[in-house]
Amino acid sequence: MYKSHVLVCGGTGCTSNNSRKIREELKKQLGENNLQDTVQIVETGCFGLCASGPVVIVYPEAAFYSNVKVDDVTDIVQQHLIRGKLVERLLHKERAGEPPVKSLTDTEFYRRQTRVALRNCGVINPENIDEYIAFDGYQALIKCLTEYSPQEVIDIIKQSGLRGRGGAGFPTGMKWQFVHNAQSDVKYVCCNADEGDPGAFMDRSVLEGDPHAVLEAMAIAAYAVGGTQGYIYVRAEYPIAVERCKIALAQAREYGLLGKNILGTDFSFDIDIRLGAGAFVCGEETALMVSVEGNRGEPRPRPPFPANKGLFGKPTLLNNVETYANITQIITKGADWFASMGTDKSKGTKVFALGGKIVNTGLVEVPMGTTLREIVYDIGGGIPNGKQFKAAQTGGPSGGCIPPQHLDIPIDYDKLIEIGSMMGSGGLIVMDEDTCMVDIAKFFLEFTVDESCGKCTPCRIGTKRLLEMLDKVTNGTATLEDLDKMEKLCYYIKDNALCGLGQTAPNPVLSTLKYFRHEYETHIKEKKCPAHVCKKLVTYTITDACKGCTLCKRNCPVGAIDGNVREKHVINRDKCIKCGACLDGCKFKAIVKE
Amino acid sequence: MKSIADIQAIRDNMAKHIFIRDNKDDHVETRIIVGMDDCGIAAGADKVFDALIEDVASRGIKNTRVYRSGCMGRCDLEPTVEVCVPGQPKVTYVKVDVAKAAEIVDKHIVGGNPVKAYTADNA
Repeated sequence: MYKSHVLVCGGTGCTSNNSRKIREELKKQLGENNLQDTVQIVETGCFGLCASGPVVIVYPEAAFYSNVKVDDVTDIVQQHLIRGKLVERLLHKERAGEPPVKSLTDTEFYRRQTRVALRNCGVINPENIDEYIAFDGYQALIKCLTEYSPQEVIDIIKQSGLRGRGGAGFPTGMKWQFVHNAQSDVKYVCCNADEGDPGAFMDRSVLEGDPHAVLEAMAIAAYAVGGTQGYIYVRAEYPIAVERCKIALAQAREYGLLGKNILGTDFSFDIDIRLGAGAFVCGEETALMVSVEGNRGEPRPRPPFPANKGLFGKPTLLNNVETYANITQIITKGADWFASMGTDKSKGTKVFALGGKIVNTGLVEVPMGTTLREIVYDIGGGIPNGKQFKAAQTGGPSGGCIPPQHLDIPIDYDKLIEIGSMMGSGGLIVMDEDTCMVDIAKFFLEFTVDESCGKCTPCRIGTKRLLEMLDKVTNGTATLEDLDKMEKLCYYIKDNALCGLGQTAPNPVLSTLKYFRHEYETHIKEKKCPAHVCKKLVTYTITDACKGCTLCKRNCPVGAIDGNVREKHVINRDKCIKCGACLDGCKFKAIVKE
Repeated sequence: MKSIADIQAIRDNMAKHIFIRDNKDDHVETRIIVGMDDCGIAAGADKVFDALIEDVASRGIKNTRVYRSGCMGRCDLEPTVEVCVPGQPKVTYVKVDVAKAAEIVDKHIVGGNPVKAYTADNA
């Protein structure tokens, strides 16, 4: 029996930060010190605190080490594992200057979370089915197969109030019922892991950290709706998630948890993986199914809905990764337990991927109804460098920007739509005072223009025209009339696009127009960008504070600065490419950007 | 191909192994701290630590964590083991061996009665 467990994060964030090398070095040093039989190295999924990675946790003490380097392994082995002294300098500090926290569960970041979908992420080794079983894995499937009829399973999901975590928030139980009611010899159960929003990585982390939870839930869903074959549609650019899914599938088949006559019952179901090439539109349900079939990913009008005519023309159930990750817990702990969390119409918890201008970049799971302020300040640690909060973007390219005055609204599906954003899959990008809202709207629109599949005109041409208008605003060539035209075009696209991608594409523009119209107007009327982001509207000027040190002249890559030693320098505006190299280097703060 | 009974057997068998990572269902925890510096190890603290870990895990004693720490300053009385039960004064055991450790878990951690004979005052 192992006397110590060393958990090393193997999520994408920490892996890109060299956690794999840390693991190898640990293994080597454990061998050198003859500790390989008493200390177990466990590669886990994401702990959530990606900003502080790579993360290492040592049990039994639950010592929480962050920002670990390969060179730190010697101290962990020699000091902690051999001599029992915690390596103080590696212990995680929540804020600079504060004493370190001892264990992950002591952090403010962790204590305010409720982990349901992420319960096993960072706790178990995702490549070891036995560990999943040890943490009550596959108990929900056993319970369903032995105690419940398919209809009873659906009733439990309905009672729990679970809504789809992919973004739209459709009641999951109802979806299951539709597929259950459809008559067909073959039915499919699919998992949508085509997470495409910029800044979102919840689904990836669940697949990386707890793939069996998704497999088990898909098997439960198949039992409930009468599914015979499952597909996980995951993007090829999630190599770690794909690899762990494959391992999990092989293990589940070996244990008879997938395949023919699961656990000796009459129920048979198997799952395959289909890789997506990374098109955003393939996260849309009809486009996804077309892509699974091997065709070009384009949406089609509904009805017929996938529940009646989906994959290969058969009734198909499609749920998001996070939705599935909740299922097993609802079965084991009961619908009432799940429904006790959250708000009136949005039950349970939601995972958010925190990104942008925030201290704790990473993954958090909170009960529905938690305020944006709690997520950004209490869990996220606030905005770095003492800057002011300006807006939070939820829902990716389909969502909108939430201004400071809405920091205290409880976040759930309906509240977010009320204020012009949406839940989306759960990406949450925080912006500070240095962000230009017009530029942000442009960024997201550029994304949708790129990702528009081109099938319907409102999306293909409408978003392109909208982007051109935004371009005019950021260039300073727009008029106030253009703003009204933009708004009109937004509503036109919303009303007429074929699928969710097009219908929601104008949201970033609409919500910024609603809450930050003054910024648009400053761009147009004063030809200025208040955040100094839009290059065409920014000017650099040298003030009288200039001592004539010539540094900026030497730094300028295009030779746009003139001046002699000990004399005030001047920027030639025609040559200036507004790279900011002069400002960054100036020791006398003599260069202003406006 | 496994049966439901097989899966339950895996779960029961694994419980002991993962206990070290997941023994909390409450915010308060009882701490058993073993002095594990060179002086402690020379006196056999590593064996005491191993025994304690195994004992707590195999009995599945919740909310109890075994910790290692450095030298407590009484190198002559090693191996030392501190037991901190929430709401009670800390008890320091000295010259602990594997057999004494088992008794401490049994009487103090489970039974709630400190084993006076092994404390520093009686050394």
